[in-house]
Amino acid sequence: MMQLWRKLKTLHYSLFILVVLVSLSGCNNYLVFTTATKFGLEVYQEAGQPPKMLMGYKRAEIAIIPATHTNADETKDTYSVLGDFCVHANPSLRAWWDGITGGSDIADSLQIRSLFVTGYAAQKAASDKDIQTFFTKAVKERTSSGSSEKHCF
Amino acid sequence: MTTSALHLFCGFTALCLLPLTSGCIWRTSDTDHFWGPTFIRANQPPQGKAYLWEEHPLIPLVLEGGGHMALTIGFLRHLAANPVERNKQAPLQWCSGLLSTSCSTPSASDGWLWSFLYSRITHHSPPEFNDRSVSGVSFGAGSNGHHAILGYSSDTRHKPQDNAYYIFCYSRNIPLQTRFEITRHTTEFNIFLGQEVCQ
Repeated sequence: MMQLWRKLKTLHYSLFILVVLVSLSGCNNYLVFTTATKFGLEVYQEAGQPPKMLMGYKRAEIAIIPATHTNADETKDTYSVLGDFCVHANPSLRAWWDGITGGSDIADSLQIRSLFVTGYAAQKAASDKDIQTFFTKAVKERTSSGSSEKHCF
Repeated sequence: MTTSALHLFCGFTALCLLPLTSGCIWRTSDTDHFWGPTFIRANQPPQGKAYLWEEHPLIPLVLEGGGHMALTIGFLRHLAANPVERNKQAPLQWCSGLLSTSCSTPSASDGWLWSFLYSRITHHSPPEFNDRSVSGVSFGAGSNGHHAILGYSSDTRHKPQDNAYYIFCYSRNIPLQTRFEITRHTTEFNIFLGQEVCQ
């Protein structure tokens, strides 16, 4: 009985240390675009977010845009973001094996295509004729091809 | 006496073999150091359209330190990249060897570079793009957060700079052909947009 109590106590301390470690995350103020494929068990915490636990399979494409408390001016504006993203993910056992062996002649496991403008540059880009044409064309293409598009480029 | 000597000999041998039975990576803001058997490849202008480097530690026990701390029992693949900027060069440099260091400017034509005991990649600034895959068990902590993984995990992370215009085309199948370009906002800011962004 005492042995079981000691084991539980050890487990309790271990969990406490894990929670403390996971909670000690800094709050960083930067723009991040991230993609993720998980298979298995994962306990994780992104900077400035609560800890999460995942069991099974998950895919994610996330953009984290910081909110600053300063007004925009002619030289700096971290609020504005203009972007066009395409992410094509095809996670498979073969892709996993390729990751281990370093082989490269397989079907694409991940493709990312992005045109990305940040800050004041985004404001300027939004008023650019070429950019406006690009976005109009991109929207039309996606609307017509729908989900049948299998590659980003 | 003989037993003690044998213990000492075994300990010394184990210590000597440690770099060959595990991988150790130390990442700083401008250099990545690799200890232990590792495959490395890189590409940069004029052959490539991005400053990128990729590493595959060969031994399934990898310890990482510096900007990102992690212990991985399993296989790790990591690719990092910095954008190409007009009128600014930040060439990658690959140096190998512990006693007599030889350095070179790696490119796609070099293929995979074999690092047996030690080598390093100098990249001038922290990578803006990271693609990291882990198969096995991994625990890590760094400025981006903390993780504990059992299984397979693959993450890409792009941290763009403020007031900049990016074009980014990446395929994990052909990473050396990545296009990663940045144009900063200035008073003479001109947007360059080709016919097809990723052709």
